[in-house]
Amino acid sequence: MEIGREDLGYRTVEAVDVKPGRPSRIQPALPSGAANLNATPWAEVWVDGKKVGETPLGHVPLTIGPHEVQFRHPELGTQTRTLVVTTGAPALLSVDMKK
Amino acid sequence: MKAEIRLIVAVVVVLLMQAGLAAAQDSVAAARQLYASASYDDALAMLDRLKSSGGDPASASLIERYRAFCLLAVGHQSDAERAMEAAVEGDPAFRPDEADVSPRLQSAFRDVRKRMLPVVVRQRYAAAKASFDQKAYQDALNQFDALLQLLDASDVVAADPSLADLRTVASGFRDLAKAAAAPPPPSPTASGAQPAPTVPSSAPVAPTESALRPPPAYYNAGDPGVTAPTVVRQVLPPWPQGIPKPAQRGQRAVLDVVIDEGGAVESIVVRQSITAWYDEMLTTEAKRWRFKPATKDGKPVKFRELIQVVLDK
Repeated sequence: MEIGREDLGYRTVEAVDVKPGRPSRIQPALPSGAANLNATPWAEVWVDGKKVGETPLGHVPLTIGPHEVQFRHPELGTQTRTLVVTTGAPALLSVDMKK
Repeated sequence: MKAEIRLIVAVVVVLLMQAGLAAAQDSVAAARQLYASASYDDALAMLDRLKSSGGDPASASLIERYRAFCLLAVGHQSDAERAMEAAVEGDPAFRPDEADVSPRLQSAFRDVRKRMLPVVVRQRYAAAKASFDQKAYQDALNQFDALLQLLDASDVVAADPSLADLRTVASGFRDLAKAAAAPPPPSPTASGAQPAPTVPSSAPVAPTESALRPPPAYYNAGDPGVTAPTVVRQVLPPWPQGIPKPAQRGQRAVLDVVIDEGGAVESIVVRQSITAWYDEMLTTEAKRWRFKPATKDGKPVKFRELIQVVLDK
């Protein structure tokens, strides 16, 4: 079976053993993409609820697909964005914490 | 016709230079914009091109700073450290503003500054001292002023406490360079000079500044009309056998010596130390040094001199 998401640059072929009367499951491993993240002036970055570090952050490995990214600054508060990672070039996301 | 061609060539050259300058400025600004938008690889490529095209030291330091930020972002730690070293070397006064960069970047720059500042300070001291030795006193004065300004930054002496000694030495040389760089006072009896205006005898005559000023306690190199003392006897204490010579703190001492009118050493202050016990041996021996005294207008005078003592390797 060929499955994929064209918008994420993902396509794979999986073998499926179909038995009569029972649903068959396949769980293809999603490939990794990368993200570059920055904030002005700077921020701590959390992706899908997990801290990944302080800006500037480049080539952060993430599975392809949408991710929730939070930028947190001790005085300027928090900003949340959704970032879609693909198999191509790193997804870029930067925010201005003062806005 | 030839003049016209020369003019056209000159105009084209000027326009190209202006275009090149503008392009360089735009590119630094563009690289900063790429960095801000998280396009680290594109920013790095642009900064590398700018670096290879050369430029003024201030731009070079700025380029290295942003290269470091980008390299840290993409995890190239050792390349980032080299870029930070170059940035600190180019502009040792720069410290990232706490409000502008993350604690991670501040910490990275702080570590590199701590490691590099003593090196940069000593390089700049050596350059200033070389100017002084070459009697380029105005250059030396400017270099020592810049060095002292750098040494006054709060984190410099903290990076290496021995720099406090270097500050004292640099301050001494700065004063000497200033004295030597000062223009000599105009001679009132120069031939061809206009006669001095007379003062009515009834008018009170204010004493001049020079008349009020007492003669200096001692003279320095570069004071007008002063001839420096020359060595008659100057023996150094031998380094004891079996004791390794210090390699890290520099193998030199600097003595701030006042030589009296008779050519004897009147006072000694150690401005740069080798070790405490050798300094003591050195100052004991130095009290026995003899000089042909300095003279001012032919008369023996006290003279202050900074004397470097360099240990053989």
